[in-house]
Parts: sequence; C-alpha cells; structure tokens
Amino acid sequence: MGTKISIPVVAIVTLILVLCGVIFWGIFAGGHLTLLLWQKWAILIFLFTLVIGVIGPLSGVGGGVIFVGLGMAILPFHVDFIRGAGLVAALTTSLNSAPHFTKKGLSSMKVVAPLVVVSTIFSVVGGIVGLWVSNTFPQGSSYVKISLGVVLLLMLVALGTSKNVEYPKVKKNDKLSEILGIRGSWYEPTLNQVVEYRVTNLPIAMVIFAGVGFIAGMFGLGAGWANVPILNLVMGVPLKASVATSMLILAINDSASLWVYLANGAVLPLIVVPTVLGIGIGSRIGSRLAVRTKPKVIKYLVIGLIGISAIVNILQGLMGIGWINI
Amino acid sequence: MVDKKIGEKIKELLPSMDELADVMAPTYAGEALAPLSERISTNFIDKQPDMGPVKTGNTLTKVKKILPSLDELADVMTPTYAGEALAPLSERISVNFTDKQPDIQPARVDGVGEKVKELLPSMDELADVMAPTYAGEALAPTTDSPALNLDVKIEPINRIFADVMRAMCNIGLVVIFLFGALYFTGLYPGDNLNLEVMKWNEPATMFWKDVKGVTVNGYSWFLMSFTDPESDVIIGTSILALTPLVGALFMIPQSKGVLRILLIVITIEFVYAILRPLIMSVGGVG
Repeated sequence: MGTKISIPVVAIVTLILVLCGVIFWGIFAGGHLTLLLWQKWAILIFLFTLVIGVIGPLSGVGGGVIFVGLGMAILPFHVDFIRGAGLVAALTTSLNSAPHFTKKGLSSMKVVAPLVVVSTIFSVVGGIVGLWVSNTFPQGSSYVKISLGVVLLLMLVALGTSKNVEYPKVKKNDKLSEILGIRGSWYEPTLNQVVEYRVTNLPIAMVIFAGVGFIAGMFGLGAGWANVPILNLVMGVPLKASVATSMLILAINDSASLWVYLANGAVLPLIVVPTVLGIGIGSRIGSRLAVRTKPKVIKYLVIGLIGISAIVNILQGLMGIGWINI
Repeated sequence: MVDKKIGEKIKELLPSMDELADVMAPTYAGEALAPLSERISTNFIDKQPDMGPVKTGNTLTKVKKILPSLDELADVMTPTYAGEALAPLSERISVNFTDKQPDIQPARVDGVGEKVKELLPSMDELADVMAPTYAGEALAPTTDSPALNLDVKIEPINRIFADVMRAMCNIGLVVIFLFGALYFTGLYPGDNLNLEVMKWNEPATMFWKDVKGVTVNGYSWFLMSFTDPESDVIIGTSILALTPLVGALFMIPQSKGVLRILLIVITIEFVYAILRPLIMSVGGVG
C-alpha cells in the first residue's frame, strides 16, 4: 500500500522545518535566542490554538468556538481580528473534512442546497452587522462581547437540552423536501448495509438556519453546535449524516461571511497563520486521542472555559459601556 | 433523628453547586433553542431517558428538572460534535449505535453476540489504529475498504464539489503557509510585525491605516500589493473563500431541475457577497 502525502501536510512540515531552522539559526548564530515581541506572540498564539485544537475533539466542541470565546475574553487583539481568524480556522477545518464526507454520501448537496440558500445570505448579513457594530460605535467591541457572551450561554443550554438521536424516525417527508426529492444514503460499516434516510420539517429548518447563519457570520463561529441538532432533531437526518452535512454547510456559510471580513481588513496574517496551523495540527492530535480516550475532565474543562469565557465577555462588555465598574 | 431531619431540611433548602450552576441561565431555557429541542424530542425519541423520581413542589427542583446538569451537558457534547474539528466520529457511532435505532436492526441481537461485539474493536477502531495515513479526515478510517462501494450511488455533483473543495483547500493552504513562512522571516521591508503587535487592539480599518497607511476598501488593498507576503497570505485565504462559488459553477451544468435553480441562487448570493463591497459602502467600511 503506497503512502499518501497530501499537499497541506507537506506545506505544514515545510513550515515547521523553516521555523525550527530559524530558531536553531538564532541559537547558534547569536549564542542565545532573543525573540522579538511579534515572535513571542506568534509562538504564544500557535501554542494557545494548538491546545485548543487538541481539547476540541476530546471535548466534542469545535476549536473555533473555544478560540473565539476565550480569545475575545483574554487575548489583546481587537474583536475584528479574532472573529476573522476564528472564521478562517473553522473554514479550513470544514474544507478539510467535508470532501471525504461528501464522496461517501454522508453529506449531500441535495440536503444542503435549500438550507444554504437561506443561511448563506444571513451569514453575510451577520458579518456585515458584526463589523458595522464594532467599527461604527465607540463601544462597538463591548456590544459584540456582550452578545457573544449571551450566545455562548445559549450554546451551553442548547447543548444540554438537545438529546440527539442516532437514527431518527421520519414517517413522512414534508411537501417541500418531497418536491426537492431530498433523500440520502451511505454505506454504514458498523451495520454492513446501506442506510437510507429522508428528511422532514424543511421549511422550519430553513428559518432556524437563517438565525444560525447570522450568528455564525456575526461572531466568526463555526456553529456546528447549532447545525447538528437542527439537522438531527428537526429534520430527522441520522446523527452521523448530520455531522457530515453540518461540515458541508459550514464550508459554504463560512466562505460567504469570510468575504465580508476580507473586505473590511479583519483577516490579519500575524494571527491567522499561527491559528490555522495550531488548530489544524492540534485537532489532528486531538482526534487521534479521542479515538482512544475521552476523559470527562476535559469536557468539564471545556464547559467551564466556555462558561467562564461567556461571563468574562459579558462583564468586559458591560464595563466597556460603563454599566458596571469592577 | 430530630437532628437528622433538621439537617435534611437545611440541605433541601440550600442549593447545591450544581443547582446554583443550573439556575444561572434560566433566562435562556425558554428561548429559541430549548423549546425546540423539547418539542422535537417528543416527535423523534421513542424511548425517553430515565430521569428517576422527581420531587415536585420545589421551584429549585423544577428548574433543575428543566435545565441540564453538568454531567448531562458533558454527555451530550460528546456524541454530537465529535465529528467537528477533524475528529473521527467512527468510534462514537459504533459504540452508541445499539442504544437507539427505531428502524434499522442489526443482524444479530443475542446477548453473547452483543458481548463479543463489545469486547472486539470495531472496524473503524481497527482502521483508525492501522491506517494513520487517513486520520487527517474525520471519517477516513472507514473509507477504503472494498465494502464501501456496495450499492451507494454518489451523485456526480457531490463528487464534483468534493473534488473542488479538496483542490481549493490544498491550493489555499499552500499559499497561506508558503507566504506565511516568508512573512514571518521579515524579509519584506514593508512588514513591520512589531508595530502590528502594538496596534492590533485597534479596529481593523484603523489598524491597516496606522500600520501600512492603506485605506481598506474592497479587495484592492491586498490584491494590488501582491509582492508583499502578508497580502499573499490574505490572497490564500480568499482562495479558500472562493471554494463554494467555484464548486457551484462546476455543479450547475451537471445538475437539473430544482437543484439547478438552488445552485444558481447560491452562485448569485456568493457573487453578491464578493461584489458587495465594490458596489456599495454598506457595513462598516465595506
């Protein structure tokens, strides 16, 4: 069996080798390594996102959500840059995974198309509104932080209240999905059979996806935490297919809202490159570890981190607009 | 006995840490997502989880009943989202599958068989360990077995879009990391990374004005300076963001009926998202 080496892997290895080379050169040329301010920050961001990338799959939450929530609370960058970097990280993650899902039939454009028709435009609007708020109002960043804090709290409640189902029972298609002919199938190795599924409640799901798209665009979040329960519980898509379909939706939605961030200068390479690298490598390590063990303490840690991020963001926001003084 | 009763009463009156944590977010329980999940749960889950005996008449207990505990939260987080961030979701599927499956029954359901199944690693788990090459992708371990070709008809448009995503992602990442490496060497005189660190707490538009003296408007501010590795990294990001548009353009000729119309609408939306900053100044500095 030949070994497959993908281009990103080569690029990542090359970059790591270049970085190692620069560090060794610094050590041997000067006798000691003196790091400039930006170098310290680049390494710090990389390590920070690497850790997030590792604990993301172990906890079951996407790294982008932890990055944006925690990053806004503790990192010194402007909220524009954190959201831009979060969006790029979420996009690269989904673009990496989605092709595989799609080729195996787990995600299908027939299911995705009617949903992204709505969510794409709302994610663009969300991006516009988010950047408009942070750039137009003197305390715009504070408003963004408060609303992100509330969204993160909502996310925790949503995670806790939605009990997903492996294979939901769909007795009858709704009219719209019947007209569109939405059905899906994939080969499930654990059953050794082809699983076929159909969907329901498409109009309701489209309305909800509009809101999710808006939130994803506004805060630069991946929003898989919202997509999966909607697909699974509202539309009756099997859980495995829901996760796959969510990836495909993220790849499309995040791309659309990223254009708003690009046009507003909210993509800063000094933050984006170490973030994409850190979350990319970390999530691969995390996903390997997740196969063997999923320690509950990590889940508690991430729940705690998201909860604390939410509260800190709200407090910082309230202080920013002068409502409280701590 | 009396002391014990008083103790129990005090214990009932005082909230536990879990209860306090639960009560912290009552505002949201009645909002958008919560009722939705409850309603849907009723529609789809045949077998409700056993919640145990619940005391009534106590507001705190009622709130506790409605809101999830930390344990429930942790449990719920695992299955759903393990597929995110490149996580393999194979293990979860194989382990949890027998819990709930109203329509599809596995071939063997005898007790011994189930136990043996539990003890032995699933194909996914084996593949995960044996084939690290594919671990970069979420469901990769299940892929390349010949059985996967059984009766699964993948529509051409899905294949096309998958190929486009893979190609664009690879190209975009290579550009980002290649020029990222050049950018971090600091060879380009126009990049003052220390100044960027000092100014990165400013809003994006102000940042670029202070650091590079450019007015952010549309895409010309980075497209026109392609000799700057920093701009090239942003161009790499743009390549990633172009993926759905390119994919849709390739898919449209292969699609038919309503799907073709939907793809055309998606294409128009993307064109709007890309051109919007060029044709109007809406949304910040758009």
